[in-house]
Amino acid sequence: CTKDFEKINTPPTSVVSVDPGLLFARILRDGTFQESGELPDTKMGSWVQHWAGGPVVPVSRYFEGPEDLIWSQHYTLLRNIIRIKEELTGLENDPAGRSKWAIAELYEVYLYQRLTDLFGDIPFSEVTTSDAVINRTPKFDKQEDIYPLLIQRVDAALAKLTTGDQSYGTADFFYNGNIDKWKKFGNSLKLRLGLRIRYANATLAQQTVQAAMTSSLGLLGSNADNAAVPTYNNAQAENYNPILRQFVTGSADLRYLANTLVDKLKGYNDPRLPLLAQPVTINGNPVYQGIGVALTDNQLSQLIRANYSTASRNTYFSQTFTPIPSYALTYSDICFYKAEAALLGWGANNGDAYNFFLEGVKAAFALAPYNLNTVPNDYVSTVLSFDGLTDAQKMEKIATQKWIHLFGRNMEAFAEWRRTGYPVLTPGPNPGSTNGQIPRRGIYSSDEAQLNNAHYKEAVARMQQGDSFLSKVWWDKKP
Amino acid sequence: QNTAIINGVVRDEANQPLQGVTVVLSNGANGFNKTTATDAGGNFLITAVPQGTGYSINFSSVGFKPKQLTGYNVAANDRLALTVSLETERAQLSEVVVTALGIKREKRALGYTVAELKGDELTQGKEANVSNALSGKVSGVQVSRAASGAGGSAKVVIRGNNSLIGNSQPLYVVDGVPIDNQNIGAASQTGGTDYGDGIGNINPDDIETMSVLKGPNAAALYGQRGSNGVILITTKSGKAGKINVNYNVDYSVGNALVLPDFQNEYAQGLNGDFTHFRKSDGTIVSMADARANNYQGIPKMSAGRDRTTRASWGARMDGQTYEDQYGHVLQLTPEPDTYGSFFQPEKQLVNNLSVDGGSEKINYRFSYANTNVNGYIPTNDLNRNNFGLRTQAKLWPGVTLDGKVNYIMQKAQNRPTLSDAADNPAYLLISQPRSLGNSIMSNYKWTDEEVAKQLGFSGVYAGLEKTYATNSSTGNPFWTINENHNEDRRDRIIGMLRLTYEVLPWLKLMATGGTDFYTDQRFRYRPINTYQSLNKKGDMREEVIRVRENNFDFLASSSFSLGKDMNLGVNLGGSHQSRYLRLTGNTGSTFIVPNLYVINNTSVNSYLFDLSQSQINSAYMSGQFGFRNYWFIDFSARNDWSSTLSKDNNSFFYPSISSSLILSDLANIKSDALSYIKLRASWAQAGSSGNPYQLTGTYSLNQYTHGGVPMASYTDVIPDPNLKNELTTSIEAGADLRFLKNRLGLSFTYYQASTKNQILDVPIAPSSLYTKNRINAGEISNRGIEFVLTATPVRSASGFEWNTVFNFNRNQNKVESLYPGVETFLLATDRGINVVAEVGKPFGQLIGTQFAWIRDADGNRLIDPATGLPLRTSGRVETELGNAQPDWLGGFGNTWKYRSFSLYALVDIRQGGVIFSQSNREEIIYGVTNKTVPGRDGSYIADGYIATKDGNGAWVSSGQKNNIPVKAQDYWNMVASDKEVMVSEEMINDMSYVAMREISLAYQLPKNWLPTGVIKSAKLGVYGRNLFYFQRKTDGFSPETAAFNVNNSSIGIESTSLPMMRNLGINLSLAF
Repeated sequence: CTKDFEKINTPPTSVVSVDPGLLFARILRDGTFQESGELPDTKMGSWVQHWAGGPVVPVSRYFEGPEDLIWSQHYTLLRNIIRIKEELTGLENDPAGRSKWAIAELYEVYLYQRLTDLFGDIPFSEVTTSDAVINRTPKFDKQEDIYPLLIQRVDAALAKLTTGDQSYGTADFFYNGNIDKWKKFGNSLKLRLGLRIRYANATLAQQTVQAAMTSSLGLLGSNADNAAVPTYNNAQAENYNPILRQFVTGSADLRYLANTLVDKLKGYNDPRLPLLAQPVTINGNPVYQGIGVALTDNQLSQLIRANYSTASRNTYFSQTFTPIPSYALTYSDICFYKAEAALLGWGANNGDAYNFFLEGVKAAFALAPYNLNTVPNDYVSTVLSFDGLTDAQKMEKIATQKWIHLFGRNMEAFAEWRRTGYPVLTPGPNPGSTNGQIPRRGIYSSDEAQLNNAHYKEAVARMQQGDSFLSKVWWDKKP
Repeated sequence: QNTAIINGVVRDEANQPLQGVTVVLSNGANGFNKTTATDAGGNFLITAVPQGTGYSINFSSVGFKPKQLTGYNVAANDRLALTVSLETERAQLSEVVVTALGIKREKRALGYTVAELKGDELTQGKEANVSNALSGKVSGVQVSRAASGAGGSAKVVIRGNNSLIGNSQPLYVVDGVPIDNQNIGAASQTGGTDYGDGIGNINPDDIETMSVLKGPNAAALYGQRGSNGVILITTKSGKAGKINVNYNVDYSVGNALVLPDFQNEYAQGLNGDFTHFRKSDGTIVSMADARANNYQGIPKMSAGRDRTTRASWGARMDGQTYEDQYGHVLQLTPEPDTYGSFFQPEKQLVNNLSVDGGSEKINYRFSYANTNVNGYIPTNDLNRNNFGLRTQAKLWPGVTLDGKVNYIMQKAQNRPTLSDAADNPAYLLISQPRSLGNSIMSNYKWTDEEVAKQLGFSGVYAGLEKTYATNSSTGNPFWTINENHNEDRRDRIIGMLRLTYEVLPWLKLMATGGTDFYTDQRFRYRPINTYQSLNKKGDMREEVIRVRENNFDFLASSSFSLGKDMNLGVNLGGSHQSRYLRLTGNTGSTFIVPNLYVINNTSVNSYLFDLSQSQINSAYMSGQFGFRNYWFIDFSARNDWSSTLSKDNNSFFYPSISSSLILSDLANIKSDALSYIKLRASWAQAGSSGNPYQLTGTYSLNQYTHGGVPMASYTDVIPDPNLKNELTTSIEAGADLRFLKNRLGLSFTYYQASTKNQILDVPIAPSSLYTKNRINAGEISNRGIEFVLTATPVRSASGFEWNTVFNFNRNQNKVESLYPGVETFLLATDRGINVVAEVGKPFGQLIGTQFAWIRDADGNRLIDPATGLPLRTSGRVETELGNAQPDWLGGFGNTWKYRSFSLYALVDIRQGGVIFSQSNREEIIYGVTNKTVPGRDGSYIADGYIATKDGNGAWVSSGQKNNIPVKAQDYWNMVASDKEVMVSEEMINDMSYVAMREISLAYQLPKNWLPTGVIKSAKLGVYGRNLFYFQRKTDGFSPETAAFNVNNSSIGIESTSLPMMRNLGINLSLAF
């Protein structure tokens, strides 16, 4: 009478094998959304002074705290990517699986880059790649060793991508199964990898950037090539744009914008300001006013929040506004990278930089929620003008426009601010654990520190200031 | 005829006439034999008794000790009138206990300890959940309660925790059939509701006896779930004789035993001042501005989410005029009872009626009980109806049928949400600003005027739930009880049918079928305008849970006499157990039209579904060997086949053996001083096979699609298809001694148990890509001693008797091993506190993951000479904060009887073990308790020594005691400034207590007070439960009720628990 046992013990609400598309959809959505929303906004987003943060999130006031969630979220996404590869076993060189495998690989590189950019050295080369052998305690690789491997893996994946292969179809939120667009995505990712290490390994950077700039695969060529996940306002909170979700389910004290962003847009008379920020009424007049970041207890206790701008209640914080896609990589990003590469003469001429830059700003203006099809002439002639500027000053303009464009993509904004040093930010007044300096990295997960302790300690020992906010990642070397 | 007549009356100990007593008059010499029975008045009459000598009269009745009167000589025409009193058999029961498989055994024959409680010991101070009545009464049993109000769960752990995960609670077996004791959907650290457990549904008045079989020695025959011990409940059955009708009513009132120690001097604000100011022109500025510019106007409060705005670090409350955060202009005066006045006394009314009777052939008992509780939280109430019917019938010679059915219908509404959640009134009331009164908060909806004048809120409008904080998880307790709603209903049937056939005098066959099935219907909603609901548009949840457990048992038992001195009993049996759970339901949010709480009125909704089933088949045998009634050996062996393990591993075997020796009989010691010596020892194993569906890794489909695109993800647990069973091995040895003609008794036991190969989900590093690894690993051991001292210090001829019992248990729990390379296993983590199992230490180590004080070599705190504040580590560090397990537990019970009076008092003792209090942390952050008051003016001197830097730049003590005054606020801000910025050790409380658990007084009303012929007896009782503490070290909460659920993982953490009730009650029992 034990013959029914196997049937009885068959899991009733789950399955042992699935179409990889089901996994890929989840990975793309979660992976994209995780860069945005309340927590990253008030951590990295307040370090780069887009969002004001607040006392609820001590790291926004420079008090060190481990990034358990961000860390585990990334490895969870990586687990599901490994499962896609397991499900495709045997089809790696078959049209039925080849391009699916390569697309998963490209997104894996995307995630690893984001993770190492935030933390520095991370477990990478020894991380489990199949069910057969699960490595419970992989070593931490140096970031300088990870970057060359990421670039190689992009190249290998690009070589596999074949137009006409089976793809993920509608499960592919970015490109709806269009393999050619994934080629552009992969090549654009390569461009980004190359420029990120510009100050740390100029040789590899230049070689990578030049290859990407001149590749026949092309780069993202218009906003139609943007890698983005659509969102929905009439469904579960998990289907909202993460910024809308922050408004609906998050803390009322964490909806405010930082004064740096608001003042910068005000100073530029930037037409995006009213579409990004909510005006407040002071002495009967509507004004835009951001709160300072990393305020002291006394400053916080005397704040009158009603006098400060949140994100706009007509766009980001609106359930009736057309749902805003959540972006992972945009044409604007690529234009700004191209402008930078041109300034360096890597794959383009210095003189091309301005056009790339202008194209990037135009594309940024055209994007939801701004949907501005033109950039005002006086904006072009003043704010965007390269006239008489040094390369460094031009770079500052490029990086500042990118900083505005990356609103809501906190990890990327934080990485680019650290890499380029622009815009120049003044830290908030609260000393926190950094003696009043803006953090340069995230603190490792406490679970990882505890459960992979020996390797964690090895990695910490390699850092100048240990596992602190002030240690710099390898590529963070701008003179 | 010269025959004689013998008549008489038979009464019980309470002098009540007994009907239906069989009276047999016989005389071997002349062969006379006549049988009769007593009538309703207890009278009997036997006529035509021939002359003779050596008559004997036997009196027998079920439930009473038989009595024989011998040596009567009957002369011609004698009229013999006898008055006979029968003793109830209960007096005898102390020596006969119910053991595994429901077999009644003489206690002397057992090689292991069984503790038994009588029904009346459990019901004298009415506990709605009968498990709670065990507290302090049985050695080695630790009872704690979920802090969850009426109908909540209890946690019983016998001889320490055996298991790293899940729970270590015993198996409950009622009339030989296991019942379900799950706690489905228990609360977590971030909220949830305790819907009660399985045992809490049982009517305490139906219980005849409760036997506690401690650990696998006694429980080897119950299989896997017996490895944590078994609690056997035997319910009452009818007695042959006339119809007995019993009715009792019990009413009790409960009030909070311990409340937080609130301060009533300082108002909301920071730095001893208000934060904002309303100028005479109506505009609002910061208080600093107002002071600098000397504006005209009044101070103004602001709402906020954290310490900087909504804490009570503000101005002294001296009656000054101010405007609160809602715009009311008020005088600043203390609001001393915001917490206590929110709640109400808990009232419990229990009515219980039973009817029993029958003949020698068939008996029956019917009972009905109604329990009605009006909870401590207003609008929380519980109503439970228990119907029971039991009958035992002799169908044919040798064939007995025993059948029982219980129907339980329980309804509850507005059960509280627990722990760190917006709907937990205790959580919000504890940090409410001390200047903010319930007169403001009980008007729980925003008004237009308030909206216009408020400060610090965002997006509020008239009609919305009015909160005092602005974080996303906040609420108003008055809204919670008046607008939010939850209700649940359980319909449960527990049934049992047993057929016993005595084939031969030495062979008995028994077949038992038992079922326990119930349906829980749960429904809850929060209406539109509930602050915390999605879009403030309300939400609802509805679910139906069906649970079924069936057990079928077959048992053949035999007993033989092997010559004059030896006897042997052998039992062979088999059982089949199946368990099933199916949950279906819906959740929805964003109501379309108001006040309609159905799922199709929600614009966003989704389903709830769960299904789980498992089966275990078992074959077992047991035997008893007895030699000259002073040496006994018991043995058992069991094999289980479990559906939760793979084909190769699903069969596992475990044996047990025990022995007892009555040394006093063997050595023929028969002195008055030392009347009885028994030695006992046993060894046993019990296997266990874990939960269903633990072998394979699976993909779960996402509950929601993303724009119609379905999604899935892979489990985060690395499964192991080759899992094996867990195995608990235990030994125990002990002695029972009785002295002074049994007036003094001592029972002593040493035990040791270890559970190996635990099925664990071991946390692994996130970079492994998984969060847990499911393995067989780990070993936990428990060793300890128990003793029970019983004495009758006084027994006087006048009828005064004093009985006393002291029991003691010291259990040492140790995590022996975990997994190669793994030294700690995280059981739970909650806001900066980890509860772990660490190799070499007892289960339940508390580790702080926040900041720590910097101390000198002697352990003194070092004080920063620059600030006068204690030095704190610059980063977060792991700090050992102690262990949650007690050092020892004890109970001291006394009964004093004098004629019709009986007084019982129980002192319940726990020593050792610590708990981390999230309430204490809130109290410090928000400056709401008295300990934060001294030194607010800047005269606080922190305890410690002034530090100085040594040659290496490290802080050392200067040897000078700190004398630098600081503001109390600055000091407490160092202790805790936010949920995850704190010095954890400051919230650690010693769990030791000595509690006056129960005092009850019963009075048997004199018979001549009662209407003759209607009421046979009446008993009046008054009692108090959880009366006071002789010793308590916790700050503002009761140590016993701190947990938010009854699972292992909640040990060691208190989380804004509801106060424990002190109950005072009165009851009346009538027998008709």
